[in-house]
Amino acid sequence: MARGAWLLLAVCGAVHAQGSPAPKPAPVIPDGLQIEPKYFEPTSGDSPGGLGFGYSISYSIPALSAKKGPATPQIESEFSTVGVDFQARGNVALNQDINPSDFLKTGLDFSYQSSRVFRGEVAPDCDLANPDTVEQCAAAVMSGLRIDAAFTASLESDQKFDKQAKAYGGKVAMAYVPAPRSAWNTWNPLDWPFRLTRAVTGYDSAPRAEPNAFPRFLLALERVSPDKDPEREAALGRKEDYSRVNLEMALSAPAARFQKSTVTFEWSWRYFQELSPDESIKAAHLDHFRYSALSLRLDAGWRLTYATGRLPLDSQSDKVWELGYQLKLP
Amino acid sequence: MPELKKDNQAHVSAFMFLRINGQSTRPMVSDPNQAGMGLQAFSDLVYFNSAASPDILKTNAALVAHMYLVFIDSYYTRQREAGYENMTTPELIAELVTLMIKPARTVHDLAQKADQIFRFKSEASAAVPLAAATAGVAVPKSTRKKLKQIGNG
Repeated sequence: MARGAWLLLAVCGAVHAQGSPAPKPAPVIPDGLQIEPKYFEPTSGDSPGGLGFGYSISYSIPALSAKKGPATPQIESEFSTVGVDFQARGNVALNQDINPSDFLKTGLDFSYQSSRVFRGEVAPDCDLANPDTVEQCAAAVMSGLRIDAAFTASLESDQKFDKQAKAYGGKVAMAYVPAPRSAWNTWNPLDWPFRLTRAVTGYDSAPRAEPNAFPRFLLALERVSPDKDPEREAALGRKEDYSRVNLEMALSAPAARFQKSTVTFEWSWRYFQELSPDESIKAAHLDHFRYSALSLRLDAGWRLTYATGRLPLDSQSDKVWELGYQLKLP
Repeated sequence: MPELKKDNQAHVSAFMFLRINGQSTRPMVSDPNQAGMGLQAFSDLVYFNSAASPDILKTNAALVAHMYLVFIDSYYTRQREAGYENMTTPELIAELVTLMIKPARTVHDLAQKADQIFRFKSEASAAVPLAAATAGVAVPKSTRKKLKQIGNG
């Protein structure tokens, strides 16, 4: 029954997401469910590789969002507002045992958004209406900071719905693009190796700090109420709610130039820690989960990912190579 | 998939913004060596970290969308097309983010969206309301005289 309700929710979300294009001015109706076919190749154990896919739906609910905010963005533009978003995302493998991120999450966020951006300077020989002068316009590069804080309620499961939980709490996500000459940009150690690879491969003519390479952060504190989790129940001897902290750090940076295409490096590191776990949960290694994914993507849709670790509800730690290509559904 | 057009200022704004801000290194239109930026999927732009959680991707896309709106507003136009004139900056950002988190959509789609939202210089839709607004206005004698002198009287 519960599984049926979950499937119905997923199907409703997908059908709703594929509705007709938005008539003006009604905003924010998504026009496609995103699906990415993948091939998973485990690097440990005896499991053979297999096919699967990743899915994603994101839907801002305009009627429930605030109408506050400036009508026109300013030169140094800032605002804060509130909104309601629906999100669903997960990774599904035909063979669950080789799914490196077997963790589906579907939920609603009531969010507070704050954003501030700054424009750069326009050099005298830069004509922004003339694309032939783009090389002279480098000083017009922009910088900014955005913080999204949200109360969140979600349903979590593995891909077979053998484990299910409700989660509610708060989260804060931050994206910062520092000004090119700022100390944050100059001294960003995560970008140092890529400054070298960019210069060596001809992406840049000399080692240069890349503002987009500044890491992004997510911090979440959630109360988790397991509906079905045989491993926890076996360890604890009962079903019990618990609190969980989640920290994520992510980075995306141009890494090199390969045959006139850009190679981009992507990284995400996620850590989940149960607060004050029972000794039996610690002994069963269910108190914390670590997951890390590194990708190299070529400017043509292909992406090679190495994922290691496990997310909550994932029974085993995996080390898996994924080869993915983006498909678009109408 | 269509290319960006150099004679369309909405397309120029998308190209200039993404190149200047390090999101893409592609040329505006395809050449024998490299595909044009209009054909480039969002998943190939730097902000699109597909390894990250959807929360981080969305926050990142929203920051880039806010920058793009300020870029257009600062250097191209502040006029909006019908249907968008009363939307706030956060609402416009939400419009763009909905598009920008879809990995297979392209820079051409973004440029078209900007064209749909903003009334860029020399667009036909900009000239029509101006002509309509001035149609019933009497031209002063001094102005009529000057127009005659330059051959437009």
